[in-house]
Amino acid sequence: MSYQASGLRAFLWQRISAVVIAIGTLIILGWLASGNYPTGRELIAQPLGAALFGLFWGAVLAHSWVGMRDIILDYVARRGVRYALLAGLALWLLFLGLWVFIILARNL
Amino acid sequence: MKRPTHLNLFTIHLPVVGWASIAHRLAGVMLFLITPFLIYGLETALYSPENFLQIKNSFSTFPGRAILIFTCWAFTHHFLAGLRHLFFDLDIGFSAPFYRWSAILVLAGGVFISLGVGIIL
Repeated sequence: MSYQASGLRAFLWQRISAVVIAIGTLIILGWLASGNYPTGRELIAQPLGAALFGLFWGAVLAHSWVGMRDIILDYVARRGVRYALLAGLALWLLFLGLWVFIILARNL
Repeated sequence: MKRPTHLNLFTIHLPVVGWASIAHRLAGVMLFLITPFLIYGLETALYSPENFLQIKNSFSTFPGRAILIFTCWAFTHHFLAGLRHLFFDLDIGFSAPFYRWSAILVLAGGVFISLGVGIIL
């Protein structure tokens, strides 16, 4: 069985992205709790902050892809419907990614 | 082949481990559905200090508080259940009776932490 078909790749992606999301969420919650507007904005206005912010949302979208893909594969048996849903999911996640990118670009 | 199709949710009795597992998936779907609203909230909060306060204050309204608690539950449960899986990957807690205790801990943790956040905030 190929590396991809074994599901090991998805398994690893899901775990790596999970750790990134867990750490990123704690930082964002800390920002919201502090109530400090300029700090958050200054953080993502720097190249490093922007990269970390992008990494966080990239991890969220990758994690969503693996999870929702698994659910579609589990419950939708009809081929046409399955592929249509997977394509719709991919487009939706790409749209969200573009949105995050625009937010970042505007704040830089 | 005829399979048994007894799917009445009120008569199916899942073990507690099963509840933790299906809730993990359910919470994941909830988070997926909430994602665009989170991005929108973050975008608004970053826009200006007034907008930041507007988002912050919206958590004090009734619908805002309710959404916050549900989102918090989905995240906390998903987080704890995922952490449990990461421990399993390291071969920790994957035997009786620990896998059962940890499932109960995950279920209870999600409920108590989200209610706690709802009360404190």
